[in-house]
Amino acid sequence: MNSGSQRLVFAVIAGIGLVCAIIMGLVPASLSPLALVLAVVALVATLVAYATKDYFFLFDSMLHMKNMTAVIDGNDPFYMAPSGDAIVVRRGEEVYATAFVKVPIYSSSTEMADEDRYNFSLLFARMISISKTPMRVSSQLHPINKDDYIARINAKLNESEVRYNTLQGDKTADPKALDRVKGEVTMWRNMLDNVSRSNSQELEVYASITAIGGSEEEAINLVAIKADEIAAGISATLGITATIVTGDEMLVFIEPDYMIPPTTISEVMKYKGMQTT
Amino acid sequence: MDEDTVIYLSISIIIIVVVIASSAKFGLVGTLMLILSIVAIFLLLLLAFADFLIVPLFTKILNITMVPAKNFTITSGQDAVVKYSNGIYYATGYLTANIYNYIFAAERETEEGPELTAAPDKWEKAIMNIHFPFKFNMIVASEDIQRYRDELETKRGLLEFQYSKEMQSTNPNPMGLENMQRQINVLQTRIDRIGEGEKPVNSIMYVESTAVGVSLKEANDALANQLSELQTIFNVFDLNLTRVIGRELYHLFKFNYLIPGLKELTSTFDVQK
Repeated sequence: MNSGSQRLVFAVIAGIGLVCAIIMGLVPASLSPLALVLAVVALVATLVAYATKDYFFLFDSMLHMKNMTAVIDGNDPFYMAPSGDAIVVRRGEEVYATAFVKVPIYSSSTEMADEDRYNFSLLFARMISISKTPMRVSSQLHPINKDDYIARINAKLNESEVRYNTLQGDKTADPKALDRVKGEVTMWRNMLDNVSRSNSQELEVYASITAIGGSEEEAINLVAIKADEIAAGISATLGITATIVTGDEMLVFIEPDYMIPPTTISEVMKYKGMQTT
Repeated sequence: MDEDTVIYLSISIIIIVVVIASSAKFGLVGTLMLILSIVAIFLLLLLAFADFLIVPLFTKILNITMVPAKNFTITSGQDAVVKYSNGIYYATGYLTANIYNYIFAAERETEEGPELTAAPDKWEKAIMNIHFPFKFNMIVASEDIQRYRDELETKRGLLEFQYSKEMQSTNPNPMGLENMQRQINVLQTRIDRIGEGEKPVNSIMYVESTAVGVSLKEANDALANQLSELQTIFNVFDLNLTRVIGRELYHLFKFNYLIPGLKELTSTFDVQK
C-alpha cells in the first residue's frame, strides 16, 4: 500500500514540519508572531504528512479538484481481455488480470441429513483454503433477467390468440377445438401475469483471482493458469464442475447495471415500494 | 496497530513535541501554540484511529464527491458508490462482516460440530428472507502451515517460560498464572487443530448490496434500507455488521476489479486468522 513515492512525500512534508518546529525554537521571544506562524505551519504539515499514509491516492485528485469533484481515476475501471476470460486493470507499470470461476452448488440443506450438513461445512472450509494467493469467494443474489422468457411467452400468447380469433371467425369450427385454444390463451396469459408479478432471483457462487504481470499478455496468461488451478481444486473438493466464466456473464459479477438489468428494475423497485409502505 | 502506523505516528508526535517544547518561552502566544498543539494531537489520533469519522465529515460539509472510475461517484458522505446508467442510479454500499464467533471458536477447546451442522441451514434461511441484490464476499488466502506452526510454538514456548518463572517467584500472582495458562491452552488448541489437518486462513469478509432509484436520493435511501435489513437478517450468524464509510469504501469498490496481494490487504484492513 505504502509505495516509495508515498513515503517520499511523507518524508518531505514531515521534514518541512520538523524544520519549521526547530526554527521556531530558535526564534527570539520578541518575534512571537513569526514563531506562531512557524508553529502553525509545522502542525499543519505534520497532519498533512500523516494523512499521506492512508490518503495518498486522494492527494493528486484533491489538488486538481474542480466543482468539488475529485477525480481519482477518470478511465474505465477495467477492460475485457481479448480472450474474453478475464478482465484487465492497469495500475502504473503493472497490469492486473482477474478471472472468475463459477461454483455451481445445486444441493440444498433441506435435503441433507445432519451428517451431510456437517461434511458440507467442512468441505466448504477446505475449499476456501485451497489458494495461498488471495482469492475472493462470493455468493451473489440477483434478480433473474426474464426478458427472453417473457418474450417467448408473449410470442406463444400472440400465436394462440391469432389461432383463437381465426377459429372464432370460422363458423364450421369444432366448439371443442375452440375451447381448447381458449384454454391455451388463458394459460399463456396467466403465465405471463405470474412471471411479471413474482420476484425471481438466483444465487450464484463464484471465486475470483488476480494475477499481476509486466504486460497484458503475461497477466492474462498467469491468471488463466491460476483460474484453472482454482477450478480444479474447487471441483475436486466439492465434487462439482467449476467452470471459468467468459464474456458478458462476467459482467453480472462486476457491473451493477448487469447485476440488475433494466428489465428487472421494476421488480427490485416493487419490492422496495412494499418495504416503505 | 501495524508497524507502519507506529512509525508514522511516532514521527508526527515528535514534531508536535518539538513545537510544545519550544512554545514555553513565548508567553501568551506560547499558550496559544500549546492549545494548537493539543488540537493537532487530537486530530492526529482521530486520523490514526477514527479517520472514518473525520474525513467523511469533512467531505460532507464541503460537499466533495469523488470519482473512483469513469461513470462512478463516491457520495459526499463517503458511504456509497453510485453508477448512473440509462437514467437509473445504482447505489452500492458495504458492510463489514467480522465473524467474532469464528475467532472465539479458534480459542475454544470444545468441539464445534453443532455449529458446522447448523451453518448451511442458517445460511439458506437467511437467503430466503432477502429480496434484493446482495453479495457476501470472502477474500481468503491460506497461510504457510509450517511457518504458522513455528510461530505458535515459539509463542507457546515463551509463555511456558514466563509461567514457570512466575511459579518459582516467592509471591506468584494467581490471576496472572491463570491468564497465562489460558493463553497456553489457546495456542495448544490451535497447534492441535493444524495437526488435525485444518489450514490456517487469512480472511476478510464483507457484504455488498446494490439499490436502484430514479434519483440519487431514492437510490441512497433504498440502499440504507437494504443494508439495515441485511444487518438484521445476518444477526443469526452472530456477525458484527457495520456500514463501511470512508476510504475503505474506495478499496472495497476496487476489489470488484482486482484483488491485491496479502501485504496490501493487511495494510488496508484487519485480517482475521
